[in-house]
Amino acid sequence: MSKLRENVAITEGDLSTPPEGDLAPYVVFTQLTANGPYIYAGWLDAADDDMAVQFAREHYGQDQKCECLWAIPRAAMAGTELAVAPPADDEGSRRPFEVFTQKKAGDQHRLAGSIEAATAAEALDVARRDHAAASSIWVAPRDRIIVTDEDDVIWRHTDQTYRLARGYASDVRAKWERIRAQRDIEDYEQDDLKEMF
Amino acid sequence: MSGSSNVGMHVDHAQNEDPQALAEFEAHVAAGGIIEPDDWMPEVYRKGMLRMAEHHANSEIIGALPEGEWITRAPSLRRKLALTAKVQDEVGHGQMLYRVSQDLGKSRDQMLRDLITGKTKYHNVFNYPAPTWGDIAMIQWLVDGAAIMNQKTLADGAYGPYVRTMRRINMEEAFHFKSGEDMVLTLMSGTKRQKQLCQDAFDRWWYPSLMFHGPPDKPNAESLPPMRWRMKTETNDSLRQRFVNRFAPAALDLGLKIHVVTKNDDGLVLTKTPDEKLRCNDDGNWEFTEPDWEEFYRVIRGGGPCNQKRLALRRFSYEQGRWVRNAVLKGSTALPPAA
Repeated sequence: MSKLRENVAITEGDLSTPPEGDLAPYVVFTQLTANGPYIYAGWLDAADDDMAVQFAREHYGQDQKCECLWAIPRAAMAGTELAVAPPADDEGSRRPFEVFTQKKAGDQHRLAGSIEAATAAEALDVARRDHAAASSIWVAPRDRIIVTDEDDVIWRHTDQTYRLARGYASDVRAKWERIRAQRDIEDYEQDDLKEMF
Repeated sequence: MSGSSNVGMHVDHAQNEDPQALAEFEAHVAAGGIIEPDDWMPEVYRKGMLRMAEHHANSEIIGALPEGEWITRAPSLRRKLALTAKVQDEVGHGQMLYRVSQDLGKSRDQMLRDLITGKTKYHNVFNYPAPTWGDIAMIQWLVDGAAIMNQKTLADGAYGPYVRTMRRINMEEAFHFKSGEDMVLTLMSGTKRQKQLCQDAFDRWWYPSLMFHGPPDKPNAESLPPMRWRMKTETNDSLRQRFVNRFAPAALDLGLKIHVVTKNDDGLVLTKTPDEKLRCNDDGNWEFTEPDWEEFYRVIRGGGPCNQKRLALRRFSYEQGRWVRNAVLKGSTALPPAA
């Protein structure tokens, strides 16, 4: 135990630091195989886009092999149930929006296509018509999606089996077999007629 | 690791809710439906899910502390890498669960502060000490084993964001459990001293693991809101019985002895006697001596061996880390505080 941990003072009552508020939420989509679908992985809180993509790489990019990931600030998104109003875009030129749909409640959202729109609200309206059967729809302007590069190595190429269940499966099986075999031998020897040997 | 099972599900029956909306909600949930954040839900359901997700998130964060203590002392490089990855996973689980809670209406900063000041709780099991490497093996084998059993049932719940988070967490929990099982098997295949280390740790963790699934159920548990609304999908007693059915024979196969123990205030074993009730019935269920439920409630109320220490370390980390948050959020270049 480090001296630091052993000697931490026991203090009660309110914290001396004032409340600081929350960081901004980002949603993360991962692409598990090259050219595969982008599938919802989860949310994270971050101070800015750089921090968001680094957190996304370290957390959502490490529990299974991952080729590419997207991090999207919630504030840039519109959705059928997201707890923010569509962002107040300037009604300028049309731009591409990515559309993510949830087939039924409980499912993960997946990238379903792209549309052109002037605002997020318009993109959401178009997506509702195009994906009427979807349980939930999210849209995000492509220029607000933080994307890892093709050349970016997310899933480490060194041996990662130490952090995967399959990295232990055969060793565990072999150890159980040895332990049980040893107990069988011991049980057998208990019944030996010792006076005969 | 799951921390939701002993959150004390005092979810009262919905009062003052629109009866028709409530009836539709209950029918939808009873039919296996999923509730997403924009769906109507009773206020007590929202508060209950918030409390459950927050408790679970707190447990993940605090649960990383006893294991983090052992990263530098793990006996091999592979075990260090694995324990580092596990601690990283647990904190990541906490982050995901805080997000579920934030979307139910409470800020993350407030949740972190309420945890430190004791206004909210975390899972009891993390209020026990881990004095040896054997304890780390037992935490991963028994406690993560109990967590997987619980979390698989939570993944069948009704609240969409929590269910999706459980599915993701369960992928990593499988690694935690297998790693722990490997550690226990290695110790029990080793020297006499290693086997004794393992037995001593098992004596410290068997009963906290039995308490993991929460106190005994009320007689009408399945009709109360937490089960009726699929906030949880299996009772505490059922989970506990399944845990014993799985782990008692495995422990005996390893050569471990299952004892009823008494402990001192530091959580270390004072006396131990074989569990005279332990036997497998004809129906395949194992009988066992129930945990000391007075100890369980005493620890919840703050009387456990490590309650103060865990929160003191979280407080220290939060307050000492303020300069990092200021640097990230405000570009402040203030120096860190003196050690």
